Amino acid sequence: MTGAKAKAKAKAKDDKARTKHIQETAKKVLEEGTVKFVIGYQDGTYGGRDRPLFVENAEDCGKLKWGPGCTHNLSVYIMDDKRKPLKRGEEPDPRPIGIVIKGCDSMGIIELLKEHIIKREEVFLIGVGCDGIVDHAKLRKALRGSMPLRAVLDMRIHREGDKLIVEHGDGKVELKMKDVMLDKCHDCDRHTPLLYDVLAGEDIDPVERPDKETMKAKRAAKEDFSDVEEIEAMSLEDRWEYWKEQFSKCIRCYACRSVCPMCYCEQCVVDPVNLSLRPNTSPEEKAKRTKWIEKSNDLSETIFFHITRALHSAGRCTDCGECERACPMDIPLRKLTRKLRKDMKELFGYEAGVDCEEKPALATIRVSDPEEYVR
Amino acid sequence: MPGTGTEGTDRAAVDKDFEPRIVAFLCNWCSYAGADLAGVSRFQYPPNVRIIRVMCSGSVNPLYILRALQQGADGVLISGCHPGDCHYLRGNLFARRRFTVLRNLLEYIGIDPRRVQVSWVSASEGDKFAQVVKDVVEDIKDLGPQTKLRRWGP
Amino acid sequence: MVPREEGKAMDGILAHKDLRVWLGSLMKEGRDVMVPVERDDKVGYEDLAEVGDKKVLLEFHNSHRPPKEIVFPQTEVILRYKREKGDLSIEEVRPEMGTTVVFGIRPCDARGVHILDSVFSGSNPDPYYWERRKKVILVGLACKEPHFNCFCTTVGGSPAGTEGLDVLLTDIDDGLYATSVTARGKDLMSKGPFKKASAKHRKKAGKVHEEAIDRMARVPEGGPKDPMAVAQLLATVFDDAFWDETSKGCIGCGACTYLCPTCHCFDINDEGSMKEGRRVRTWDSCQYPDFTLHSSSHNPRPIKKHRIRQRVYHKFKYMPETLGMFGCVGCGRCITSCPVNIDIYRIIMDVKEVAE
Repeated sequence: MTGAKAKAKAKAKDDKARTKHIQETAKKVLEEGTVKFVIGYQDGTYGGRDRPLFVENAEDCGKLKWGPGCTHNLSVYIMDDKRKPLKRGEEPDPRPIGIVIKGCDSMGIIELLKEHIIKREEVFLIGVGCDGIVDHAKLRKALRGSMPLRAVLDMRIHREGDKLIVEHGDGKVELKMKDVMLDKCHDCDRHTPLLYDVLAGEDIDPVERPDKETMKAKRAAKEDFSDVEEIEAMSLEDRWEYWKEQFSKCIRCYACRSVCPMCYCEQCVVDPVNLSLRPNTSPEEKAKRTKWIEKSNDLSETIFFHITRALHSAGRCTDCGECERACPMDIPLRKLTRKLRKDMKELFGYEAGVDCEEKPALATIRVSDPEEYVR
Repeated sequence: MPGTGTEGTDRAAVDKDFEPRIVAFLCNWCSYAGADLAGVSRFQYPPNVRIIRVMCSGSVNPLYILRALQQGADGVLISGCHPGDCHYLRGNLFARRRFTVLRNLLEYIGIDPRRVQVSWVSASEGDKFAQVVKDVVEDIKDLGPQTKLRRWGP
Repeated sequence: MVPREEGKAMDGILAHKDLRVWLGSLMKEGRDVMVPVERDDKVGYEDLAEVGDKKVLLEFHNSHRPPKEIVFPQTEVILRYKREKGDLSIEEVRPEMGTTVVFGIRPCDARGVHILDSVFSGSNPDPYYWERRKKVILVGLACKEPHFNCFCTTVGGSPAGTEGLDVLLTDIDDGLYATSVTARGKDLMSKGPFKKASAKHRKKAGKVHEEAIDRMARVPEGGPKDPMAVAQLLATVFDDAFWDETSKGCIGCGACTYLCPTCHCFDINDEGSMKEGRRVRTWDSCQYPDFTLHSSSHNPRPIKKHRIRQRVYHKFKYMPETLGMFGCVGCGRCITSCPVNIDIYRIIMDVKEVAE
């Protein structure tokens, strides 16, 4: 079945059927021993949130779930497992990792495959069609006044059609899903993952590589870049004032980097190049140790970090939005990374996370690349 | 917050005698040779440019450009071979894409993209090199001192 | 340590309309007054002289970031050096700060400052910390409705606790009922149009405190935890597989440590060159992989499990053993800010089951 048809079918399924299928699939592959473990979602500890679950035993699969709170991009854990230190004499386990992925997450996996940092047989993808994820900040605002605060701790959420049902100790609240959805979900054109071994809730053939039709449809879809255009419409000085204020909030916690599946470098630009000290290492060598970015949060250093991270994500960022969600200071990071996404699309006709056979964006050239600014 | 680097340029306060400091990354095979030829041929050009020889314009990491601006450069010039003539076949074409991205990003956060300029200068174009430097210095003089990205430090 | 007044606490009541009058007179005498205001949907402490029309909040859960940065900033320069013609000159940099009143700090955050006071004391008190701390006066505001992630009572605190505070205010309908906790607090109260408080005011304030405790969502069975009991419990489960499961989801982002009112790990780096430079102290996080990286490239905490376990043990075992109190005040910020919902309260509750 092609991508477009699968998308229509996936939308019709309900979350209960998807949850059941995820649990059954996970149970099957764990019993057969064909995967090391399965990464999925489970109930969180407050506010109707969900959180990642790592299941190693088939009997724990009952905890896995699927719902509108399953925000996280679980592909960030793949590199962790690959780099796990082994005990002396221990051989690495060649089995794949089972991982539950949504449409936006699947594009991250395609990028990782493209860069050959993982192989297709190292992941067993339990795809799931997604109809939108809840933005918990918006949800909190929408619920203000409609329930006692302490009831938020144990509340539960689930989707029914286009409604979000919030259940708490003292009652129930019904909200429209589109009022509390994440910004990125509003014009989503990737409801169905672009590749999967199993599609939750469907009896459907696996998709190893995104097929030509899906890729064509994805590339043709018009993406709404109005958030970027809003900044582009500002004067140079206004833009500087805006970004200066945003970057001044940064506390350099690097949550944006830690949560990004594409930031997998073992030694990041923010880490000083490791200098191995010997007894005769001179003070000059220590003082001149390569440090691209200082640890102090001067505006200049912070801007250097954010520009560098944005440049390193050019042509690689699939706009999963996790960086903005993880930022404890609510810096609008997507406005930065999406600018690069827009440029990649408009100037070079390139979109990250669509075709795992193509070369990375900055490793390709076209004779027609723009050069009107070159003297 | 400790350190400087938070003021924007104030055109009114620009010193008439402002002499910009420009860092130039010139590729060994074409642009550096071109600059050399300009010197040998006695073509006059402003002394504001500090030249760093790199093997290829494609080897210039955007971090070098950002670091130059952080350390007080008012402008950066990267110069390489004409497309099709790169000694390493396609290095300058990768550079072209990379610098488009960098300049657009800098402009997006409010830094005038004219502070980062790119040119194609071949080994026989000594006169072009002199002209490029003259033009770049004029542009940067107009823009004034670069203070937005300046970091603390000597 | 900030001196506490023995037995002669003073109380009073300030009408709501007189709040700005009081704060204004504190400012007139040359103090900086930090007040809670809302900006971009978040509450933070800003200088009253610069907030303009923004409302000084009395109804809010807690600030997004803890006010610990007022006494322990994210970045501070501690010395500068310069080499001129072969002579090296070193200039020590001490913080320059005027007397600062932090108005509206919550009892949990004040308790956090109280814990930092212990950490930065001892036989070698940290001069940079104390230079700031001795100038900071904390005027607390008792909580009316705890956030759903708060658990101050679990760790021995209270929505009306006074540890670390100079004055405690409680918002009752007649105004702000105030109790002084230290001599400095008493002095501060004398600068404002406080009226004598009656038994009725005291009763109303007491009721607010009781209601706040009732509204706490996270309440453990068996009441508040005893630091030494928890420390002993943790000693028995160090090698348990429980830590593997708990830590798998962590992405090592460090947001928990940066938003924690008691976390105090720091790094010291030299910036500059051989000719001129400065030494800078910045926040660091034990959750980063290279926090414990030795120059030999050995790392005693190479995997996430070690680092998360360390964080829990530091707050719930090592600090009770060395300082006699938990290193956690139950503000819940780490729970709210964690992108993958690692919940330190649940970890402490679940550890008991693991031990049994």
